Amino acid sequence: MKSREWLEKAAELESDITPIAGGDGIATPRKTDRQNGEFSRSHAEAKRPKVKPVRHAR
Amino acid sequence: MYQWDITELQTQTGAWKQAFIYEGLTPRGLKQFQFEWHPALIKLGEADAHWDWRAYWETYGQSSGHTFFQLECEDSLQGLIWLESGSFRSRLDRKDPLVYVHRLCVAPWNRGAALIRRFRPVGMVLLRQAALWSWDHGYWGIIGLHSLPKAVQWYRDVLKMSAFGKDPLHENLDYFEFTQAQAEQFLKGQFEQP
Repeated sequence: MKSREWLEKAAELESDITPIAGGDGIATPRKTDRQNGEFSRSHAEAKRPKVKPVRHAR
Repeated sequence: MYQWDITELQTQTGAWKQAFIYEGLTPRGLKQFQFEWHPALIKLGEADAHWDWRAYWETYGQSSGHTFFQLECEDSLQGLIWLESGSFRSRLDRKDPLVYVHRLCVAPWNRGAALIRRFRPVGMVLLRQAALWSWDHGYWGIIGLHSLPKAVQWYRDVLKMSAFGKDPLHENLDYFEFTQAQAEQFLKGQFEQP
């Protein structure tokens, strides 16, 4: 299927309901995840270099 | 940050605008989330208003298996998705490995709750990105996700993803999967198929 056709059908489907997904945090909607104390992994780990193949690089 | 793909989004008038999918989150995108999206999502009372994309990116952006994409149109951030591969398996009997959608989020002005919806189909394009990523990395398009309550009907009745009911390990959010066959139909645009 051509991309435009796919997009047209998808646009029709995405009418009123917004697709949102995510696994947690509903119980504390007034705080950000950061405030909730998540994401405490080390700075070093977070800054580890990332190497991955790239498709469609332009 | 890499440009991954070029697509199109439809405006309120029906015109189509070129849009860009980038791998990785940019400082400009994160700033727009923080100062435009976040206050608007709170105002709309959306359940994902507390999500902290900067924290997700800073914590997992460089981690193996984690991939972020941002969708831009007219130099503005329209949607975000965070995927993880290599750590999750299907809940079906075959227990195939899959790509898990940690977060999928669209701009407040692209939601049903917005007075004037600027672009569509943002969520579908991001979900297609997840399925393509899964396909390209050997997971056959299989993806899994937990839906926020307002979107359950969409994943279940519109996309007809396989539904596994409420997950007590994830705040009783409904869990869904695309099987390989469902992902193929989705990518082909056969949305009406059971």
